[in-house]
Amino acid sequence: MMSAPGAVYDGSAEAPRVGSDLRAARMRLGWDLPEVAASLRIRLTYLEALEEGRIADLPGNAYALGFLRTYARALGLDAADLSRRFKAEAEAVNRKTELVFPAPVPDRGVPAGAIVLIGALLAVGAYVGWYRLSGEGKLPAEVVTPVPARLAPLAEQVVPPSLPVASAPVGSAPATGQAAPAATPASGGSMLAGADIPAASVSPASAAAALPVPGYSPLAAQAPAQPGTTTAAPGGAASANQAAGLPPMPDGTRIVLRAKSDAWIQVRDRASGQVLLNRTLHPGETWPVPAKPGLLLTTGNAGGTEILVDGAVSAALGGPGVVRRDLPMDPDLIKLGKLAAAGPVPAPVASAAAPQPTTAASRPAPQ
Amino acid sequence: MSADMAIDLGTANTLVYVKGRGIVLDEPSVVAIADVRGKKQVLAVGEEAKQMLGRTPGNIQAIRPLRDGVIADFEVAEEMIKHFIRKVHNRRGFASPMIIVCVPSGSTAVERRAIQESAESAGARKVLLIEEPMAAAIGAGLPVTEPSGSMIVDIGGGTTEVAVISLGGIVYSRSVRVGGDKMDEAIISYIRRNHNLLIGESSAERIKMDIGAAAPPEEYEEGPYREVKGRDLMNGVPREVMVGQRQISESLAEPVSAIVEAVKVALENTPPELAADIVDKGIVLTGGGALLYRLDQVLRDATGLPVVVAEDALQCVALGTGRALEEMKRLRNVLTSMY
Repeated sequence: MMSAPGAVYDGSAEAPRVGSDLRAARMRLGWDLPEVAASLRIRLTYLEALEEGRIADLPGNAYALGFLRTYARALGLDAADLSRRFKAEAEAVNRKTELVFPAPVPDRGVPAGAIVLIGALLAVGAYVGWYRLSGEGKLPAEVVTPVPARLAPLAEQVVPPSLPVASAPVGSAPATGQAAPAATPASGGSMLAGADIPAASVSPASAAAALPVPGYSPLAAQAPAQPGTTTAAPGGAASANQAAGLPPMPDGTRIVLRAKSDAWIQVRDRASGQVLLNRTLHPGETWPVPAKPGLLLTTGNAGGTEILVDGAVSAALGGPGVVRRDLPMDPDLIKLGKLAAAGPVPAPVASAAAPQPTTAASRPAPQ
Repeated sequence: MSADMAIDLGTANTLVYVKGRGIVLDEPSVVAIADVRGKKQVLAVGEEAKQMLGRTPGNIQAIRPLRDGVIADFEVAEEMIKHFIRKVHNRRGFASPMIIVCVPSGSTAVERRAIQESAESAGARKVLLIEEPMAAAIGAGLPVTEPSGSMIVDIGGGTTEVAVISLGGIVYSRSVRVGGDKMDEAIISYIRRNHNLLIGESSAERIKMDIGAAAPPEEYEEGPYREVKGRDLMNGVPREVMVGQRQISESLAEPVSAIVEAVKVALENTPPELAADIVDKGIVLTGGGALLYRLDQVLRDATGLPVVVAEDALQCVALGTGRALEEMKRLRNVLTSMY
């Protein structure tokens, strides 16, 4: 029984000489192996394996050496010498017991490093995608979004300047008229003027008219809204304004002030003395004059101030640097070109919109 | 860079294992302290101090700072560890090694903290603790991480640790405060009772090592004899008597039966599957007490199991602690810290 079936061991795991020594000593004493096993309490199979040098069949290095020494001492042999020879013969015994502690299975299948890597890749991918889609690096013209399909026909439509509008006799013409000066290069200043007109406050009239029309400017909102003022085609008016390069105008505005060069401009209400505008307009800047009778215009630079009535530029008010005071803001008068000829002190024109100037006219402008 | 150390802080002997160098120091855990004008100074540590044990004048005390496996005198223990660290590092200054110290499995949290803190105040950078039976099993080369039960009995100077280990953990452990010291005391009291002779601890220990046995010799045999010297209790003069192995084995019956009892209780509390493994492989004895003649036979007869004494039984705990230090990453499961 030199080799038990199934026992796996190589040459290094054998210690035949020590085993035969043990067997010889036992034979000399005339002991029976089962007897020895019973007295030493070591299993018979282990003692047989020891005698035959089959170390692989022993439960472990520590136990193998322990059994060997116990057996050797029982036989009266030198245990220390035998175990030294045993270790020299079988290299497997010298190997340290492998200690591999049972480790808990990791909770996740994906290691942390992979998650960090994937996260970084996703971040880079997202940035590249955003860079491409957001049009970073393109020309500004490419960035402008095209007109939506439902608004495209309106944008192309050319509105005649004198579109008849069913409006109240107060003179609040629809803003559609401003589509006329579409050719005038006002696009630069229109953005600035647009900033003056927040779309926050909506007068009852315009709210009743149409939603897409933006609200009054804060100054205009202070003026009493004119009841009954309706616009025939609010959507058309808004789109026409956009086409003309002018900011959207509040309802009923016929007169628009525009600066060609820096010009200090004051607009006040003759009746109440309320000042509606008192500041310097910069070139290209526009200011819609509220549709309200009895407004007076004072400009510190007549040559740099243009008055647009229904989108048409009226006659020049004077040369550059000339001061014109208390010009009545009556659309009809302006249209007729009467303002250009008027002197610094306007003559009391027979107009419903401009009643008695007298004291207000002679009053110097503030500032 | 200071070398990390593993210390087997035993009641009788302290062994120091240095990483990469093996066991470099094996000295008795004794410190001799001199009282110089009211100031205590360390006179000697280790073997030299052990020579002084029981032979000191009034101003010198030879102290064993550990009793029953745990620290009994905190300051002296600290001095001793400090001395060993310095000795291992060859007087190189600024040595602050990481230290692994083993503690009895039955020690309380207070006792463990005392051991850890004394090592820390002795200059350790970091202190880790390992349970003595686990260290002994690793040092004996038992396959402690396998799903198979191993029983280890570590008989030290102060305590006897009995533990069943499987899968890298202690399944059951029992620590009794019986060890080499108790055997010495038993021998002293036996000789005083039977021969009216008072002998010292060192003499008793020498007798135990020479002719001590757990079981009496065979019938009609007397075994070896040794002379033992001491002071006669009747007339006070020094005297020497001859004692035989049979007498000594009689005197040791009580501590030996305490150890056997501990092993039996541990076996009773072992889960059946592990008990089946232990029937096959048996019990491994380590520690100085394992070298007591015929102790394995007594345990074999008492339990009916194969009992083997580990190789290098005296160094098993230090070797196991050292292996935990060497393979820190793999064996960190067995290391603990009080913080």
